[in-house]
Amino acid sequence: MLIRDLARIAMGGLTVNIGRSMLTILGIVIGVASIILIVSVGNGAQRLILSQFEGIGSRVLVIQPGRQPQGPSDFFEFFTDSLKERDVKALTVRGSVPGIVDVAPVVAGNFSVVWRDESKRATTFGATDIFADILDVSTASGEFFTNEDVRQRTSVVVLGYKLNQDIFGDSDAIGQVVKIKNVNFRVGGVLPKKGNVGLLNVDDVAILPYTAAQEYLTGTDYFQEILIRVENEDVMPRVEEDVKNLLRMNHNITDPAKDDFHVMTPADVASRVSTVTGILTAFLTAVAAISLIVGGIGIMNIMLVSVSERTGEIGLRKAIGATNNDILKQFLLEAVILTASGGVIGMILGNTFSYVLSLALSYFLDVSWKFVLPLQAMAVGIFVSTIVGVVFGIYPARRASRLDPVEALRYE
Amino acid sequence: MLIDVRNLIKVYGLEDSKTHALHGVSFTIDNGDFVAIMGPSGSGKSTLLHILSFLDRPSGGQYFFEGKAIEDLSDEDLARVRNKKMGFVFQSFNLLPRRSVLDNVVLPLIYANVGQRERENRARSLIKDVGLEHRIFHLSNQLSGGEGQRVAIARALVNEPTVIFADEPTGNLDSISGRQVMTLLEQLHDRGHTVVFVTHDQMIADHAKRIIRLRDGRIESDSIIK
Ligand SMILES: Nc1ncnc2c1ncn2[C@@H]1O[C@H](COP(=O)(O)OP(=O)(O)O)[C@@H](O)[C@H]1O
Ligand SMILES: [Mg+2]
Repeated sequence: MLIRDLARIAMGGLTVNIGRSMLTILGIVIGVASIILIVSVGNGAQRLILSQFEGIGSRVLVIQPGRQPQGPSDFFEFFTDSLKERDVKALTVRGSVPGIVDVAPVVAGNFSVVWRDESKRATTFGATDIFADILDVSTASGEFFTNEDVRQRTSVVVLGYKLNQDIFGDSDAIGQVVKIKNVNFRVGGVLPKKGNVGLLNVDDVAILPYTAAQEYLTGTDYFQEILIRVENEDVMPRVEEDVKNLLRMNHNITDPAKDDFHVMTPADVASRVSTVTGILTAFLTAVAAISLIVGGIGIMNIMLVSVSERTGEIGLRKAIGATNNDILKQFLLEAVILTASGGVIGMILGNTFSYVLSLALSYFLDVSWKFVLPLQAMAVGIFVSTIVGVVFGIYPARRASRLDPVEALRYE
Repeated sequence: MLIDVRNLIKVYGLEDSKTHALHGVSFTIDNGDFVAIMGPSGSGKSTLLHILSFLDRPSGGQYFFEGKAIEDLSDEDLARVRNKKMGFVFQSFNLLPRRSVLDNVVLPLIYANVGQRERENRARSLIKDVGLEHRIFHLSNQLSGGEGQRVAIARALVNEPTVIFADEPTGNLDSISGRQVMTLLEQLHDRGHTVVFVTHDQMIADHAKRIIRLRDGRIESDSIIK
């Protein structure tokens, strides 16, 4: 039989009952659409997070308190008070670790910023003047606080773009006095619209000298992070080692397993995030793959029903000269056309959803979420749905091909 | 000689529930014969026709078609011979539902690898011959019984078969449609086709040139008419 005729016969078999054919492939459509959606959104999320880490620059080391987190149980290690002024001093001493350009301690907190009857909760960062360089922002109006302000514990604050909008609206904030934890702070500067750097939304933060933050807000003497800017990427690994050794010495630690701090590079963070989104994507894809198998079983059922309904047709085809092989091919092709077109429809739907979602996320989360066309997942989707057609179509097709023509003709 | 059967035996079922449908049937059919197989219900007419038309294999005896023993042919070979040399007309027409008259008539040619243009030309001219050119794109389930059987006859002829087999072709038709169908079969015979049909109706059998009568799976009589 000619391929074209075979295809036409199979299509004919399917189009006779379009409604049922559509219902039959629903499982496959949903399965493939979910896979495409999940992979596409996963890729988009990964790309977004990675692009944000690029903002920090590849020359920054982050020291955090507590040992290297191995799992969720190490979460509370972050609250260790091991990073203190003396560490900053030791790192800042010229020549203590060659290759270090800047050292920027960070005191993080969460406080309300109050102006007249406006009040807004914000992530507050106590930092030094170079924090602005590390975030790669300069003020849109006013000035960032200086190293002198840090030394003097000046109560001055720099507001993120959105925080400023929320509190001051269109009026000029520079020089105004806001209250944070009932202490007066002069607004020294306002940042331009910046969006995320790493996992931090810069638009929502209030930044002040860390000395002032420790004195007036947290009342603590330790840091949540110490950021270190390094001369260039090549010295990163050595600087990382030197920093660890220096801190161990400072903390009287001889056994690295007992470290009360850990050092991360933006690449570490990015790769950890990639791993997490990768695992999530793989897990969700596996779930979606199960729905493909369920869809395949559905197809097998419907094909079996179809074979028994069309027994008379099969008998006739055999009588007029179709071989068992012709019948097998016809029904197998019907199953494959069903699943493959389910795959194509699922692919279109999945990509459409993902695209719409990327627009919605960009709009509502105010991030530049890029739609990613998941070519690999699409190829896999088509391939797998075709295979599902073959695997679950072969049994009904064999049944059809082995029908006894005399019996089949008798069937009404 | 087209068909030569010797001592054909057909047994249905296994050990304890065996049915002997044919008990040693022997005859020959020449090219151009017009044969009616008659007999009461259950006498083995359909069984015999199925074996003659390769839809079933005998349990015993020998069958030579155009001199070749069918024992030596595979199921694939049988399908190919059915496709090239035989035409089929069934009591219940067996048209593909919800397909056009044209689609139904071209069907055997699809399995014979005949190109689309050629097979449509042949089908159209046969549909015209059976008087249904105005119905060519109608769906098979929109036809009357008589029209349906005429479509089936066009389909049986489209591969220019040597022999046409018909099992009770008028069994589901009123007497007028039945007569039309028999007239068509007579015309085929006149044009040199071999026609073998089964009926239990004497009036219908009288259209043939030869009547083989079966009873309980044996030949009761084999007579040439006129
Ligand atoms: N598939 C079958 N299985 C068992 N017995 C059958 C089968 N087909 C026919 N028979 C039996 O064989 C005998 C001949 O049947 P059949 O050839 O159909 O007779 P006819 O067509 O003359 O009415 C009957 O007794 C019938 O019951
Ligand atoms: Mg019968």
